[in-house]
Amino acid sequence: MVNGTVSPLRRILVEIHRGGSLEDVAARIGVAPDEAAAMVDYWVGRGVLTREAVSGGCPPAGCGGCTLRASCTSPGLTRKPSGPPGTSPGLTGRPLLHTIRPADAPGP
Amino acid sequence: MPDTRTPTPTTTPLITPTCSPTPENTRTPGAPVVALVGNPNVGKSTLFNALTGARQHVGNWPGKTVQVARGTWRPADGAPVDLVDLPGTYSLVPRSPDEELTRDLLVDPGAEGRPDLVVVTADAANLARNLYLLAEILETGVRCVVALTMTDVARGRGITVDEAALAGELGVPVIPVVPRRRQGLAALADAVRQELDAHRPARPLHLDVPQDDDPELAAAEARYAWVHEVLAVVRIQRAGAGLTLSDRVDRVLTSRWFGIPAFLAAMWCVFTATTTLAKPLQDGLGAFMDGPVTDAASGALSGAPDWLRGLLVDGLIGGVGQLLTFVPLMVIMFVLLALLEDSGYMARAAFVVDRLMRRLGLPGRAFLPIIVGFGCNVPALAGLRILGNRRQRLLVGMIIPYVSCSARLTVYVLFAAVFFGSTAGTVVFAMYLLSVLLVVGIGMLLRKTLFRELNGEALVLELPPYRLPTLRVVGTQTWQKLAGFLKTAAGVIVATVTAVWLLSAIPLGAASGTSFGEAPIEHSVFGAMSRAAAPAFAPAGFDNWHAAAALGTGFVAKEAVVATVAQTYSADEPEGPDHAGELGTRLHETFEQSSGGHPLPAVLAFLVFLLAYTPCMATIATQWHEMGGRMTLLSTGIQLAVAWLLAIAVFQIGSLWW
Repeated sequence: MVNGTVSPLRRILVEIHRGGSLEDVAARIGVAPDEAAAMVDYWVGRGVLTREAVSGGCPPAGCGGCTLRASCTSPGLTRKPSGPPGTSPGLTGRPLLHTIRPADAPGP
Repeated sequence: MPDTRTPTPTTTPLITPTCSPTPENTRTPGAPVVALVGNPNVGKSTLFNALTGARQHVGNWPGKTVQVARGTWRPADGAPVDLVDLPGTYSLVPRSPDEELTRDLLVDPGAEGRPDLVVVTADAANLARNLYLLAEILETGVRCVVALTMTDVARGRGITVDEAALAGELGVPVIPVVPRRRQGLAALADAVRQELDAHRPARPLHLDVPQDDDPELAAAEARYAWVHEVLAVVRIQRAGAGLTLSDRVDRVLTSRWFGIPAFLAAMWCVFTATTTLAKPLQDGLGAFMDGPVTDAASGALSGAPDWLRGLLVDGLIGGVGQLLTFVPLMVIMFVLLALLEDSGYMARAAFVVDRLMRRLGLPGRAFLPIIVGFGCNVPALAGLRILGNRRQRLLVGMIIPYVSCSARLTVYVLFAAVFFGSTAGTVVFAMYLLSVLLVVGIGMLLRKTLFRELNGEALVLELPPYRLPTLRVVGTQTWQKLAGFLKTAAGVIVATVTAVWLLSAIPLGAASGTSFGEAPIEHSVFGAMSRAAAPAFAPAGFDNWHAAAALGTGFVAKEAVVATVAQTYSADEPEGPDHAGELGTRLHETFEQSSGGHPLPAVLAFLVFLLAYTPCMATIATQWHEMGGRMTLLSTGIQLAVAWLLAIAVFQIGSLWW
């Protein structure tokens, strides 16, 4: 809270719940998209938000090759905190996109 | 040994550093210590390599398990500098041992090895993120110089950073550099030397941090407010603020009105191009499999028993060979999809689908496994674990089987090419469109019945910038998907073909007097089973035993459908070279007969049934594991009912016109 008004850093948590793209969220809180991305970094660091990398694809053993849970890690999705876009542990190639959401959901 | 301390996928080190267990021992005696600090992926290690050349060593920091590169920087006209490349970090609030080392060296004035000066590498294209770290560093009071990288990338986005204004705001020198081209390195050396020689104490940045129950948050708010003010002064957006080419394209591709039509148009282009481009290759490969390969195998097995020839020639070569003719088609489609994905367009498509699903009351995050499901339903079901609660997982798990996986594509293409000729691409596209409609429609139905209490959840998408697809990424993605398809074909299909051959070799009924492998396939156990199931499809116009047989093996795996079609027609054909390659003609005859003269709606009904009924045994097993037996049985029952009713509707309505 700064000067009785809610700061963009706190408002971004509220705006995440309204969904859309990060550009939409940045516009709603009145900052540039890279400022919003930096604020997300802060909340990811505090464990309040989670950033995940998403990509498509089949498992290494081929489609249908991961019936057993132990052998399938769902290659398209990773729950590892990925840092800013461009860093995507667990994925080969470039991720399709990154998602940002509250870090309150149960893990895999 | 590659430098793995900081991930820098967008840069390549100029040299390969040599290893040393203790970089501390490699210090240049008497030389001032300068540390390179910055976010990951800002060109920090590239700058380090450009400054030190081959004079560097990588090893653990004393007392830590953190690897650090250390080298001697010899500017052209100055004394040597001991340069340390500290691990990349986003903040001085550490999240890892790497970041902890950077924090300790900068924050603790008594830390052993504390640098005399810090060069902060800042990315001009993502200045906000870099300024936050810079604010933290400036607060420590350590002397620093800013090396501004990626200015060309920023310019490409219509952003110019006023370096002089930035230096004025920060109170430290700001030097633009392009390490790969060695531009700005001399100016950086001058600035570093001047700061080192000045021997004046640095002026720490003091921010006005209000009292708060959460002092760390209050400090962060103050830093972000400072970042916002600095950006307002130093960042100059080109005229038409914010409207880069990427923004202008996004306005159309992600708009509420054009987003979905643009996505559908892109998909139509993909499927039309795929079927058109692949057809001659597929025909050529088909002729090769039916001709030289089959002839050679028959010749080689001329002395072998009939049952062995039947298994190898009619079964494996006929079935698997038919499926292999789809390899060119798969390659073309995977390449086109990889191009869309690597260019950044698929992320926009995911965005518009997410928005549509939210508007319809479905969980937005469901689009994540659904995207994966277009490749294969099994990992998509495994990916349900990313969803927030069990009710959401159950709902999405029940709609994923309607996502048209790549295995179903082979069947669409085979039948569409035979029955619809030049409009085959449109038919394939229509199947994918129906798949999306089923996902949304069934999802809404379940949402309003079994899952009424489901709540929405927060999700924001971070879209990548548009970029030129690279050969490496497109090639890797295509190969991975193709390899997955071929592995399945090599395993499940061979087993299914063998099982079908075995069942079709056991005589039954009218042929019960004949020996093993001698009876016509329609008078075998397999034929009898298929004929028993066929009447269920009479209202849908395809109550022929060939179709029933294909759908039966399709229950095991959709890749088996094409193989079974080839297998049953091959075995059913009279012997002789004149009948080779007549699969299309036989399919026409069969559907013409079973539909009472309406083959096109009958084939469409068959494809709709194939799309909507159970994807494969692996899907059922995964559903069982993720959702439990009761929900899996319910889901399978719903799929069969939906598939049957839709197929009947398509045939009955379609036969009014065709």
